Amino acid sequence: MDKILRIDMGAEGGPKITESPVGAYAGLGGRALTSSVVASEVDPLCHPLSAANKLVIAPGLLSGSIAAMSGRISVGCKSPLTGGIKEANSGGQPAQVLARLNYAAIVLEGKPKEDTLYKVFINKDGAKIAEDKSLNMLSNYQVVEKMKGEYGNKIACISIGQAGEMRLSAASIAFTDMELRPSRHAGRGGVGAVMGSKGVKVIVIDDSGCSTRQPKDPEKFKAANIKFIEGLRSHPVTGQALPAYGTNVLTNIVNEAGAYPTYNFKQGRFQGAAKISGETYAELETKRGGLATHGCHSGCVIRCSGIFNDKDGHFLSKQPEYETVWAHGGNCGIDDPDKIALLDFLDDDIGLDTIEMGVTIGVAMDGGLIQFGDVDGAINLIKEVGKGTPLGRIIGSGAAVTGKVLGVEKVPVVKGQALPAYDPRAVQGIGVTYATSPMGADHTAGYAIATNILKVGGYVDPLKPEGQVELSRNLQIATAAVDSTGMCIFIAFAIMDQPETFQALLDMLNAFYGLELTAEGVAELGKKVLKTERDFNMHAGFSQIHDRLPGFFKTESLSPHNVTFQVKDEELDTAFNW
Amino acid sequence: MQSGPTISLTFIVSFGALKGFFPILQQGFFVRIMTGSSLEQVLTEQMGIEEGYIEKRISTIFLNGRPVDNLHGTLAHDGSILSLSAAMPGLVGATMRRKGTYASFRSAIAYREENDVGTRRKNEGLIEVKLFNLLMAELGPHFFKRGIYVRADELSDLISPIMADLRQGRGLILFGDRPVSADAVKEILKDMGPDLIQVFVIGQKDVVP
Repeated sequence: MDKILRIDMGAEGGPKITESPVGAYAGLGGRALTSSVVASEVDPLCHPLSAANKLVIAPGLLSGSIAAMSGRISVGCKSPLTGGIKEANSGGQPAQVLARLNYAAIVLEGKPKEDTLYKVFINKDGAKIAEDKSLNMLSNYQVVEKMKGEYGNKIACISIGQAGEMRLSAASIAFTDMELRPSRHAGRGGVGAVMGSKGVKVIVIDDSGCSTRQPKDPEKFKAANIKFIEGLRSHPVTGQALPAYGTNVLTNIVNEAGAYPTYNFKQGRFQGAAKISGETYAELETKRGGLATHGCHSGCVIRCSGIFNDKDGHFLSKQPEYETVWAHGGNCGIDDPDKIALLDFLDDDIGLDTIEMGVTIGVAMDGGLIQFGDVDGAINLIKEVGKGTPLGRIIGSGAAVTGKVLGVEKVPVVKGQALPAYDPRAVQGIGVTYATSPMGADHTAGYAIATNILKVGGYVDPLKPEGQVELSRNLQIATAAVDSTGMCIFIAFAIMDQPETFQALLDMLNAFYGLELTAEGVAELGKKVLKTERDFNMHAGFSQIHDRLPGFFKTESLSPHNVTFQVKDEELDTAFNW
Repeated sequence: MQSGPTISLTFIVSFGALKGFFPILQQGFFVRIMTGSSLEQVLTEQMGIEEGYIEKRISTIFLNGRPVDNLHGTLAHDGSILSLSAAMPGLVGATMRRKGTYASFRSAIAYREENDVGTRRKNEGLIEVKLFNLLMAELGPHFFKRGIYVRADELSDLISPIMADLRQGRGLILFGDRPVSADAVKEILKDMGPDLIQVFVIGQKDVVP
């Protein structure tokens, strides 16, 4: 991966494609690469939908090789939802395909002079771009079907649905999975709106004739990869729980802990949780001839995804993730697994972030637009977005906008981005991450990465309430580091508990690139990425007052444990003191 | 719970059909225990779960919805709700683990025992148990064989998806020690309403030589 593909959408005479060496960005992948390009090349004060913003799509450092779990892809830009820097990532096939074509990144820049749509085709002979008005307002599934008709089945697609075309702030970018379905999404922050503003509807990539990327030291690399896979398979989370039930295995325990935000963050428990748990979905999937265990990209050994069929055995959606089931389920008082799967499909098809949509509908329910539990009303609201009606455009602009329009006080967002599925009153440490992450409220910004193995920060006694800010800081640094390798974040559990599995990951990187990277070096990279992102946000107008949870988390207690968010503002302000 | 003689239903089904009863496990069932005992004693001595399995496999335990770190120093009381889970993904999954690295994140809701473990008087009582995820398949058959208590009206809803199989003769149902039809079971449960019924579920291979 030694070149960057740039497409200037606003060039004189039409979009202009150039290829250049990675240059100053050499050695970076995933989030490290997207955030570096955005920080270096985008004016922090620009309008996110203007020609001055750039959309960066970058596979991970080991994508395109035989390394397990290396199929993650990052998307970066200035976010139309938060107004700050954004990195959203996704699974699917495009990371592997793009890397085998030797591209470290695609950068879309400028803006077409006319309101039209383009498709990009990339293969071993290079990239081509063509205007195609027939793609206008097609959904993700429709546009991928059309591309299959034009280019065959051996492709991968990166596309936007109607939401991206309308440049709505909750728009996602879809990445096709192994079945060529646009079911994997870089969901957060409205990255799809930025792709829409560039006038690019779909990027079709075909790696026919390309071979797997080869490491500098094949023997060492192969041995490390085997050890890494063994570590993933032997761990109870990556080897058993995730393959058996997917991420939605969390529903029952988060609900049991009273940390499951219900009815727009009014309660910590949902009566219907067992009806929509991962255990229930897995049983339905197996019974209906779907799949409870399935990978979203080649080289995945965890296989936390699945295929959810309807009662007649026809494909309805991929296995909905925990966050999706929560957002459209418990948060809206809905306990019908089939209808939640349909909402998941509609989000994927129209190209919407499922977390943002579920929270937005919860806010709309709180505002009296429809009642909590009104599943058909929720489905209609998502369909309104796809149609582009005035109400649909409001909903598709996310929870903060919808809350303002409907006069709702309780709007669970940080930096304009909806909170994910863990109530920060019950799990206060994650509230620190929601508040302080440069990304806005994001559960993956401070993931369960092995701070001890990465040697980030000092020891924090797990059984004492003190030190939550320090721990959140350490987790954010460690997560930024792992995001920068472009590995699937679910490797976290195995590398957290098994130092030898983390060492195997380092050995893979070192054998591939001929490096001598250490745990400390990885942690330093994480700090650098976070600092870059914080600096961008500061220049975009963010200050400490934006590192706050909405006030109601401090004043309204959460049942069943009757807790409020207790971390003081002064403590939050120390989150990035290192 | 009602007083008087225990009413029981025994389902003898194929190993494959056993899964049909798993919804009972995640919804919650009742078990008789000596209250005032530590969770460690309840799990090992009273429920018959091996210590090594608890240590290695049951990494996440809630008592009344609060994550527990110290099994030895936490008491089970009459009416307690005990939930058991294997290791879970996500930061919050890791946070909920017993004595996990990130346990401080949920210190606001962690279980804190207020009674003195050594001096507590022991009485017979009932606790509600919930089994989640991998533990459903691993511990479910163990509890089914020992017998669990379930509210009759809830049992009726929970097993309705598998009643069609039982109606077609795939399995045997005993009411006490008397064989009954699936339709009769429905009537029995309807009559009992919210009262508790003891339930055994046994794999056919355990009774057929």
